[in-house]
Amino acid sequence: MRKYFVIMFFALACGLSACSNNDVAVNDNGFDRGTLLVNVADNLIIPSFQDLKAKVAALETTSNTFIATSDATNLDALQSAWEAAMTSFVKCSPFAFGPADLPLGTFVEVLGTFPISTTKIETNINNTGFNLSASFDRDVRGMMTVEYLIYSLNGDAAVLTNYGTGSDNRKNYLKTVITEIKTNIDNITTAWEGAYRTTFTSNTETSAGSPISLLYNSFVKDYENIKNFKLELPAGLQAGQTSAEPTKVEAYYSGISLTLIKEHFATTEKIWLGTGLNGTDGIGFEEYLNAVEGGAALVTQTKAKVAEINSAIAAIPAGRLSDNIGSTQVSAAHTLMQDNTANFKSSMSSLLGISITFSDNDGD
Amino acid sequence: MLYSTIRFIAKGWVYTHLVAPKLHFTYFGFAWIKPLPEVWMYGVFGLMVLACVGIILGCFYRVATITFFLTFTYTELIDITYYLNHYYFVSLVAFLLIFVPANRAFSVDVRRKPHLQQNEVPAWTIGIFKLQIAIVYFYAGLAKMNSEWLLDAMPLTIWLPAKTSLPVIGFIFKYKITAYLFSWAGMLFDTFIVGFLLWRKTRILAYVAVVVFHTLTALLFQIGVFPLVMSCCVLIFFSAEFHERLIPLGNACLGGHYAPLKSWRKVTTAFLVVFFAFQVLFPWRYLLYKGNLFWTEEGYRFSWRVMLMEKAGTATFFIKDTKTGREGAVPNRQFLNDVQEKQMAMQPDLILQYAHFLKKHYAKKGVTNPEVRAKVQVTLNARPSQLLIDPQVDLGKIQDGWKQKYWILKMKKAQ
Repeated sequence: MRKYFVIMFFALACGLSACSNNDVAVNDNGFDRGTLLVNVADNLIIPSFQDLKAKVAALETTSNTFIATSDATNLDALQSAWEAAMTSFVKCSPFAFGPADLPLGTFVEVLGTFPISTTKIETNINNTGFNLSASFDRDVRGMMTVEYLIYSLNGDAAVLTNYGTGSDNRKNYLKTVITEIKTNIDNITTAWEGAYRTTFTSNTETSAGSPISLLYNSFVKDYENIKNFKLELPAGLQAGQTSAEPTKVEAYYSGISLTLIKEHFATTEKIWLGTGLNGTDGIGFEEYLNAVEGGAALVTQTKAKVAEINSAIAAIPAGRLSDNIGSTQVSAAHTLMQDNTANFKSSMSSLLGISITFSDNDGD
Repeated sequence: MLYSTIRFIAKGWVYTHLVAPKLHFTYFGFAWIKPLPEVWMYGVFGLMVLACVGIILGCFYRVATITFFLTFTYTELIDITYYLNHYYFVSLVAFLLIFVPANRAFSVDVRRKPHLQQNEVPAWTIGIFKLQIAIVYFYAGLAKMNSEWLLDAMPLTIWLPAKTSLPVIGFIFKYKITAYLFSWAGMLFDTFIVGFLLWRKTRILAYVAVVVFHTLTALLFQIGVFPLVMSCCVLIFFSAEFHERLIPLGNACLGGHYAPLKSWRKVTTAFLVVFFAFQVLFPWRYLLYKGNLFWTEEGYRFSWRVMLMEKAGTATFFIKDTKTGREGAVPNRQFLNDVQEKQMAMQPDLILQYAHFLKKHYAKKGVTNPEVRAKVQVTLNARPSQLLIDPQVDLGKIQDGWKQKYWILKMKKAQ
């Protein structure tokens, strides 16, 4: 009886799959997630953090020079170093997991929060007993605090007046904030260059907490952060807002917001395509999707949308984003990014069978 | 269940799932169930642990079963996005345990009051559990008899290739035929397993099949303790002698019989008939709704539809101030955790609940008579994403109910 059952069932199953018009034996599901992980780690993540580490080191050096001699030339050099470091920072932003997940939040949350609180920062500067490492505030530290301390909407002369005699506290604050950034970025880079690379590339599971799931979830969250915090919120496109809030753009004081958005989204695209920091195309989510049922259609759809987003961002008027934040071009780019969210988020995770939550959970 | 409860606490889920969220999705008709403050919530879980210990030891049995049923069901009813068929199963079994004398041997209660000792129980007290398990498997089998599961091997075609990294057996999952084999085997297993378990001759083989089946599912999917629960529950199909052989201290002295008061017996019987009739009929309610069940999910829950589809959605909500005409998007992460957002974004009734929450929230924040729209893109079994609901409808004006939801769009056929 049982034997009969087994035979019947095998016959049925074979018969059925034979008449479905899909290829019977191997469909191309033999995709090796290991190659994706190795490619992204070696050609994108590690070089990006190494670049950031170098840029932050330069930021520290120029900052020390400026603190020693606070003149226009040294301020100029410091500002250039900050712009370079900040541009490198957004290129690492999607990799906010593993060693980049710090005790008080991801490195993006801890070191990249904007807008910062000028009131709190000024209070801290005036408080000689202030200890940054004992503070949990995200809006008094990180890259955007450095920006506030070395730029002014009223020009460089206004910055230099802040660093005259009796400005030791301000100089110390600048130094402490940069040291904190450097320590963390150095640690993250060292971890990636060492043991974490092995951890990341040797596990090809798709469950919650697996490398591919960490990478994917961080990629999606980061993409949504560009949309929500770099465009939607300052543009006043969020529910409950009654007007645009230009001071909420990223990099408000230096005015390089638009450049950062472009570089940031370019990195998003690189992860999806599997392109390295040097521009060489390799194995990424695109190839992975092409290997699974229903993936090819999604690849075509996503590529079209991404191209649209790129031209929409390119169409935003040059100059300070805070001056153009209410423009139709900004809201057009935002709408396109919103449309594309499903491509990156639900459609992609569903086809790839990647767990979407960060923690594991019961299921049925 | 002791293990499961401790696991839930140890993983910090009491906080992340029940205490931290700003809103909870409730079951229709159970919106009055609210989470307690954090300390009390841990109290409830503590009580649940005690009740588990009580049931296992047979100590203050009736109090323990009632406590366990109430605390467990309460925590499940707080938020629908954590709904799992096996939690429903645990609640049902816990409820049944209240009525049976499972504390009459090998228990602390017997040691306390020796006159409670009895070694024979009426057949119905075991029969109801067999029936309960039969319903679970059989309905799960029936649910698998649909064209996507059997003819397209969906969603296993999506799920299995993601598991190629499993040791030893991993390689077989890259073949499409494996998905077909597993789909058909799963359907046949669920539908017929109870029959084989009931028949003494095939019982042992059937139980081996149960263990193999549940071990496989445990390896393949993140389904927590469910495989363990079912593998143990199924043991009830084995005879009493078999169970006593498992206990070295077992002594098979007979004597004493269980005689509930006549009046009680009638009430209990009536109660159980209603209880099972509900379970047998409720899953069929989907027939009353038009449209694809997987797409609309009208009549999907509480029907033993276990791991049947791969569905995911992205939902963007828009709030419009009807006075100023200004419309803005809602940052979902501000209100929902990952699990809640994921579950909400594909289930129409939860989308509606969330819309009502948003309407209230933004009205309080000063938006005049907010209008709530949602653009919800959903993918089902590898189909390209499409709109689940009408993006123009003001969800704030719609009330939930058992009636057909006309604002759900029809699923377009695949090209």
